[in-house]
This record gives sequence, structure tokens and C-alpha cells, in this order.
Amino acid sequence: MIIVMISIGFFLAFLAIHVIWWRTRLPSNTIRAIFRLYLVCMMVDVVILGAVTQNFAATLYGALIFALAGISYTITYTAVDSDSPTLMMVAELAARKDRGMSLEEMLDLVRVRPFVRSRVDQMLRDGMLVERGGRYALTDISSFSLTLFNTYRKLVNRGNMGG
Amino acid sequence: MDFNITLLFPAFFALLANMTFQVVTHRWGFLGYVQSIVLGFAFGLLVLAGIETFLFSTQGFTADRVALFVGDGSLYVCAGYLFFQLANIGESSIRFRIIREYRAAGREMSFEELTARYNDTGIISGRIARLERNGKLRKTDDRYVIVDSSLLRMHAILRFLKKFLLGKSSEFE
Repeated sequence: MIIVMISIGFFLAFLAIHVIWWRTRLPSNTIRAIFRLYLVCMMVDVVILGAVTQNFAATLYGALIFALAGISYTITYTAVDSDSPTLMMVAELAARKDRGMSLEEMLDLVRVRPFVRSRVDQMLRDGMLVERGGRYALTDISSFSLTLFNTYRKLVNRGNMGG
Repeated sequence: MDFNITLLFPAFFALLANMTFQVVTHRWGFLGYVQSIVLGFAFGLLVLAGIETFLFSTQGFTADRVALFVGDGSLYVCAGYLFFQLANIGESSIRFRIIREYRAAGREMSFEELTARYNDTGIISGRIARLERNGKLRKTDDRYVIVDSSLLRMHAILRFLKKFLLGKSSEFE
């Protein structure tokens, strides 16, 4: 029973530290900061689980609870950190009610909110792209991510949609 | 209670059932993409419920068994959510699409070269098409009108979290 309580407790501590940190002094690179916080909490969780249980399987079980809950929250957090073009459009359309919007009006939205520029800048900060003399290239981590996603999409026969 | 690697089996087999159901039902055209993900998750939950019922009936209603039930449920829900994210990122992630454009080009590209292949206009057109296809949006006299406002709830939650955590309601503020 203690393994489940320790890991759920660590997940709640991770959330509490994240909220207090963000509310008191927002990190300059929030995505990198939350990943680092997640990794540190997970390492401490594993050490404590190992010391308390002295059992590999119990430690692994508890560590997986924290690992999966933490990464689920961290991935969800990226939606807080970055705007969604779909939700932006839906909110703007809802505000206009029955009047709606023309295609041109919707395109005006992205003239003041350049999503591609914003994501490229984030990817440079997060190490998913690297700049070489004004040109950008993929890093190993982004190539690996693409291979992972492509494998799944081939499995379900989904083709190359996205974005 | 004997703690060995079989502790992981209930959540593992439930997730395996979820993924197999989703891949098989969508790949061979039995279900739409979103339907296959939702029903796949529900199928995995049923498998987990079956395994847990069996374990309670054989091991009894002990404190350890109840804790493991909570643990198995947490593991499955989180793993199922991550699988949903894996499926969703391939559909709508701008980052994923940028990576794919670089891979397809097979060389370094400037920002201008990237936006010649993929740009904000393309994002808006793609999102409009997807919203229309999913019945959230309708086009009348060259104007788009929202039909189903269920996504507004998600927008409101994310807007609240942005304000609470980041002190602003948009990354462009």
C-alpha cells in the first residue's frame, strides 16, 4: 500500500512545487523547467521507493505511477503554455455568434498571432531544432519523435495529416 | 503480499487490449479515428475491471489489494491518456508538422523556405476543414458559423489555467 501512497504523494508534491514556482517566479523557458522538475521529482521518488520497499518490482510499480502521471500532466501543460489555433478560432467565432466570420477575417487572426514563427522559436529553445547560419535543422530528439509517431500512424494507416 | 513483476500485468494487459482494439478497428475501417480511440479506452477499462474482479475474488479484500486497485487504475488511465496524446499529436501538432516538413525536405531550411511549404494560412485552412468535417462549424454565404460549442469549455479551462499559471491568457500577449 505504501508504494501507491508514496508515488501519488510525489505526484501531488510535483504539482504543488510547479504551481508555487510558476506563481512566484515564472521560468524563462517553462517547458524545459517543467521537464527538469519532473525528472528531479521522479529520481527522488525512485530513491525513496527503493529505500522503503527494498524490492525491485515494488519500486518499478511505484515509479511507473509517478512517471506516467507526471508525463501526462507535463504533456497537458504544453497546451497551457502554447495557444491552439483551433480553440482560438472557436472562441472568436463564438464571440461573433450568428454573424460568423469570413475566411479572410479568420486569416487576419493569424497575422497577429503567427503560430509557425512561435513554434519554430519554441523548438529552437527546447532543442528540437538547431540553427546554423540562418537555416534550421532537426536534432536527434525531433528525428526520433517523428519516427515514433510515424510508426504508429503507419500501423493505423493514417497517412501524413497533421498540423 | 508477494511483490514481483506480475504487479504490472493488470495495467499492461488493459493497455495492450486498448491499443490492439484501436489499431485493429481503425486500420480495417470498422470505426472512425476518434471513435476507435474512445472505444479502445473503454475496452481496456473493461479488461482491467475483469482482471481486478478476478484478483479480488482470489486474493480477498485486503488493504494491499485495494491500494493496488487504485495503482492499476492510475497506471491504466495515465497510459491510456498518453496513447490518446500520441494519436492526437499526429493529427494536429504544429511542431510535429514542422518536423515532418524538415524530414521531407531532407536538408536544412530557412524560415522562409519552411513557410513556403507550411504556413499560418495552411494551419487555418486545415483547422476549418477539420471543424467542418466534425460538425463543429458550418459555412453559410461565405461566412463560417459555430454550430457545436463543446470546444468552448476546453478553451475556458485552458484560458483559466493560462491566467492562473502564466498570468496571461495567450502566448501572444
